[in-house]
Amino acid sequence: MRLLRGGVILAKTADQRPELRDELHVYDARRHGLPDLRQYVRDLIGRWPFAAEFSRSSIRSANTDTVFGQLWLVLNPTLLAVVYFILVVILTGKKISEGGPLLVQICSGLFLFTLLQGAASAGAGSVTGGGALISRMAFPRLLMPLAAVRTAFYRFLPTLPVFFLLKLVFSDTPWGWEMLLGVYFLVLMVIFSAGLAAFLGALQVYFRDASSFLPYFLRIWMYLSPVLWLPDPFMPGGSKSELYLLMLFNPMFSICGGWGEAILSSKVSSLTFFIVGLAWSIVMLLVGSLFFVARERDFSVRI
Amino acid sequence: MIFLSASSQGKAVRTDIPPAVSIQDLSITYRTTFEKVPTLRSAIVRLGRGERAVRQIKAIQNLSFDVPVGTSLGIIGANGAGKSTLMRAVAGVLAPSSGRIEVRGRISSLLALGVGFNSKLTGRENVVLGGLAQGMSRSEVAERANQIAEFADIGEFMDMPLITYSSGMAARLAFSVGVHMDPDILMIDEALSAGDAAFRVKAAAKMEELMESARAMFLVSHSLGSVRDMCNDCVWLHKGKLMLRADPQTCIDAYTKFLEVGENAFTMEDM
Repeated sequence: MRLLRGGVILAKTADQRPELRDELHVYDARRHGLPDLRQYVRDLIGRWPFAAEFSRSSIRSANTDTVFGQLWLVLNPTLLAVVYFILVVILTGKKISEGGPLLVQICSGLFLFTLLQGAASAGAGSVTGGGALISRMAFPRLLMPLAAVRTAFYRFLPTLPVFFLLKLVFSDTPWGWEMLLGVYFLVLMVIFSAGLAAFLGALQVYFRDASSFLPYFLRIWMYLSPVLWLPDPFMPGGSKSELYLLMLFNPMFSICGGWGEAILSSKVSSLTFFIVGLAWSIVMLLVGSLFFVARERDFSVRI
Repeated sequence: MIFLSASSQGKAVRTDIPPAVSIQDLSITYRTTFEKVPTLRSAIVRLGRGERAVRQIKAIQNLSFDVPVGTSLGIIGANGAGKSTLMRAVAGVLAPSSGRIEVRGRISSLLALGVGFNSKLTGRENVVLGGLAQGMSRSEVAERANQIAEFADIGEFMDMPLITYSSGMAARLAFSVGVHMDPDILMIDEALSAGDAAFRVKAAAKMEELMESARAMFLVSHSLGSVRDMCNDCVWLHKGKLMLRADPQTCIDAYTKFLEVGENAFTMEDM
């Protein structure tokens, strides 16, 4: 015997499944607006294995778990770094022979920014590309963009050893415990990416061409962030310090800046980076995921 | 012609406990956009012309009925009657526009894996993904995947990409997934039409077995023969409205009379 919700006693049937589910699902007429968030988060955590498997299978179907697939994951951003390196060398008139440290610096920023780019572009297509999963199954939809972020993160990981190798060979910047602070900024980047991926994923449902603008938007964003350049001139006391406050409006100024200072220069960044970066990440996560969750019941009709 | 045996009709319908599914004044309206693909560009163009963006399609209108525990409910109706919409709403995929649905228990729907999620992935990977999305644990899914492969009788194709399957294999796999998800409420949408005669017999036997343990079953079908044989209750929908709720034979008679085709060979054999 067991108690159903509503206080009705239900005798067990001959089939004694121990976990005979008394779950009551109520679907009511609410297409927009937030559900019970605590329940939603519980569901989200409960079904995380699905997101993990979904991400793994997308990695598998892109063949990135093979040797050459992994190699390409590393080669692709490295070649991109070389392209930007040449560009910067030409624009600044430096000698290529003296450019080793510059290449390392570009790699440190670019590899991290690739994580954001990957999460944003995969997250944007995560709902509209979800097809049968979205139109036929009921589960917390936020898992789709989160799976995209997981994929982007796992594609980022193999570039880390490449960076450390380049740093060892080409750069005389110090190695120290401060480099571990990079983990903090990496976490911020993942949180920020999750929010952005959710936001773009929901937006894409309503505006299918949004993703066409995305690469340009991301590239401009990269030029405005300390990816190819160092944040020093914009810091208080620097040559362009009057732009410092303006720069803080770019979340990537703090996150990429703090990351670079930690793992490249092995120094503790200003407290501002820690605080502003954290604030931006949390704001993006809340805005992106709440926008997504408030809209998600509409998705199955729209895709 | 293969008839499924009627043992499910013998199962007692329980009205003393809350119904497995309760549909209360349910309406579902699709809002479709003019353009096939909504874009920012077309939104701006539309804004300039002052056009209304959406057209409404009333897929289900003010539908109310309860499905007591022990029911196997046939859902019949012409194309566009709202049968599949109803299934998707009960599965929690589509949100109602108004009204309310209460479902007690875990649902396994054959909507779920109809064609699989990703045809580049293997059958097993699709099964695992579907199971995890339904909230099963990884070990549960891994264990089921073998039973599913065995029941679907697809051999080594289980570990081949879905794109290599014949349509019969895909349908057998889909059915097998649905019945192995240990459902409290089983929903089958036109799934029995695929598969050869031998598989149909096997499928019917499996469904009988499931009806012993499941709380309720929904069978959406154009094959009136299988609705009559497998169901003990029936609703007939037409253009989103409930036309009749009665025993299968009464519903089928009314429906076929409505269609003015009578129970001819086509509707009986298209099982």
